This record gives sequence, C-alpha cells and structure tokens, in this order.
Amino acid sequence: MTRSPEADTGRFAEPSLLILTSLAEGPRHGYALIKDVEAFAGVTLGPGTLYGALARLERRGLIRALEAEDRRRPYELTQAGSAALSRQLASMRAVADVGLRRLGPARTA
Amino acid sequence: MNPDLAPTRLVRGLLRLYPVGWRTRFADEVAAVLVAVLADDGRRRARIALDVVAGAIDAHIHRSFEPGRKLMPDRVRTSAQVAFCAFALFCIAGTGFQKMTEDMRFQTVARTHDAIGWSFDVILYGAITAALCVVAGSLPVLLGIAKQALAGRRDLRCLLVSPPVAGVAWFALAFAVTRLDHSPQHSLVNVAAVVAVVVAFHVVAAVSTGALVLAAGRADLPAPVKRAQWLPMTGLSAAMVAVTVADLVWGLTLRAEAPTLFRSHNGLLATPVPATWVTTLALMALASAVTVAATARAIGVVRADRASASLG
Repeated sequence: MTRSPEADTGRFAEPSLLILTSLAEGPRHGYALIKDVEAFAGVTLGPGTLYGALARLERRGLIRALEAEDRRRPYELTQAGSAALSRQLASMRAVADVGLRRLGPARTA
Repeated sequence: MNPDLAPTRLVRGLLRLYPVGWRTRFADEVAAVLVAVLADDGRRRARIALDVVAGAIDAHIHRSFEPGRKLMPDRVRTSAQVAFCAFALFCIAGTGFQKMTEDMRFQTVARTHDAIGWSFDVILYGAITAALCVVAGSLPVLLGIAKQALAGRRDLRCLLVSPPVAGVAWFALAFAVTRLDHSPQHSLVNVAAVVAVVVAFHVVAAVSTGALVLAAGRADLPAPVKRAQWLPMTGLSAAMVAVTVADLVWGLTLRAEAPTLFRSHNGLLATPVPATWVTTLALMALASAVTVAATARAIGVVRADRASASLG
C-alpha cells in the first residue's frame, strides 16, 4: 500500500477502515474501491492488500458480497459494518479533538 | 466476459500463489482488478506484483480468513462438542468402575491400604471436578439453546427434550426389571433383563449425548459463549487425565496389595476384576486423549485468531 504524505495517518489509515469508509456511500467493486480510496484519502491500495482486507471484513460480517457483474463483484456494508465504522470514526474523532485542543488554535491554524 | 478484463500470464501466475480455497472465491475478481490496475499504471508493475505476492503470503499465514473455512468460534465449538462426546464415554467407563467398587470388599481395601484409598479419592474428586467443568461449559450453551427453543425453534425443542425422555424411559425399564422375580439369581430371564438394562443405559447415553451435541451445533450461539469453551475444556482435560492416572495406580496397587481381590470375579456382571479394570482404564485413557487433543486444538484456534487480529 502506498500513501501520500498528507494521508499517512499511521495505524488509523489501515485498509479496512478506508474500505468501510468507501462502502459507506454505497456498494462498490474492487477497482472502484481502489479509485475511491485514492480520491478521498490519497492512498493507493494494491490488489493484494485490498483483497486481504476484503476477505477479513467479509469473514467478520462487516461487509457482504453482492452478485458478480462480469467478473466484478460489488461489496456493501452490513449493519454490523456500519456500526463498527461509526464506532471507529467516533473514536478517531475523539482522539483528533484532543490532539487539536492540545495543539491550541495558534498551532492548528 | 469483457475481453479487456482477460487475465494475462503474469496475472494468472500471481494468482497461482494463493491458497486454493482463496482462489476459488476471489481469483476472478482479483484478476479483473489486476488487469485494470496494470492497464492504468504500467510503471508500477513491480510494486503491484509485490503487493499481490505479499497478499498471497498473508493468505497462507492467516488461513482462518480463507473463504469456506469455519470461523474461530465455530471451530472452538466443534472441539467442545468432541470433548463433550469424549466426556460421555468417560462417564460410561467411570460408571463401570463405580459399580464395581461399590462392593464392600473394595471399600474395605480402600480404607486399609493408603495407596488404594488415596487413588480412589483422586478418582472421586477428579470426577467431581470434571463434572463441574462440563456444567460450567455447557450451562451457557444450554441456556442459549433453551432460549431459542422457547422462541420457536422446533428442532431445538425436540433435541432438548430427548435426553430427559430417554432417561425416564430407562428408569422405567430399570424399575420394571427390579420388579421381576429374581429366583433363581442366574436364570436366563434375570441375565437377559440385566443385559437389557445395561444396553439400554448405553443407548440412552448415546442418544442424549448426540441430541445435545446436535442442538449445540444447530443453535445460533453468541460468539463469546463458543469462544470461552476452551477454559472449562482445559479444566476438564486436567481432571480426566488425573482420574485416568489414578485409575491406573488404583489397579496396580490393588494387584500388589490385595492380589486375591484383584484376581477374583468381582468385576462387572461377575467378570474378573482385571477385565473390568483394564476395560474402564482403556476407555478413560481414550476419552482423556481425545479431550486433551480437542482442548489443544481449541486453544490453538483461539491463539491463532488473537495473533491474526493483532496483525490486522
């Protein structure tokens, strides 16, 4: 996985989170996921990384595979996936809030 | 098929690195994505190929994520079901030992010879510990099954009532046999009646165990309940091994300290004591070995899952 310096947020930029975030907008197949993640996070997921994460998310019931269309299989968020993403984002926001507050207005400007 | 998405030799070669189960599920999709990505940016060919190789290594290491494989809690549940079946066999062997040693002569020997009495105590308390471990492990499972049975799962309801119904039927048979005329003691009718009770006991044990194991397999139990089974299974394994070793010590000590009783025909159904002892010991050893193996598998599955989770 390659990351642009702006998007390199360490362990928070893990592929699973990026995939869940992308699927929050609606079902997408593999290539569309790569392009969307690239667009909103500046991170290019390789196919090996992408499908490793998709396999894990599917096994954990966070996403589900839909009917394949010409070898391209779309994935969608499950209810559990939606809830997990909400929790993760809320926790990230809490960390971000604390970090920004501690930096102070002068240093975040 | 869209001809633009046809996999090249490189793509097919890379996909061959993945485990078969993984390929069956994902190969077509990954091939389509790889072809599209390589067409997008041919300059990153080496980096993309490396990413796929790393993905294949990951898929081989973390086989629990492979499509079609049972999830970790289900694999622990299967191990617990195996251990439960082994425990049922252990109980049958233990019942045979108990029936033999309830004779006053064995009780007296246990009181007068320290080593025999000590091993007998280990068998008794080990069996109680094993039973408590089974209760601790099966209680949340039974509650889960009962909840679903009451919520309308007819199959679970039938499976859940099978053990008590079979038990009542056995008690009725045993009660009927006690009402028979027992003179002369070794008449054909008496022997046939006793054999019928013993055979029926084994059938009831098998039916009850099978029904409960089937119900535990069919019920939608919460993952933590299934995952936590490794803990009582560990206690059960330790207790069963302790009882088996104590049974071995008991027999060897009886042979050395009370040879006349050891060589007598005070075993089950008036068979020689060594025959009953060796049979119960062999069954206990088999049941203990199966339980230890199932427990090791359950612990291994839980540990592997923790390692997978921590590695993402």
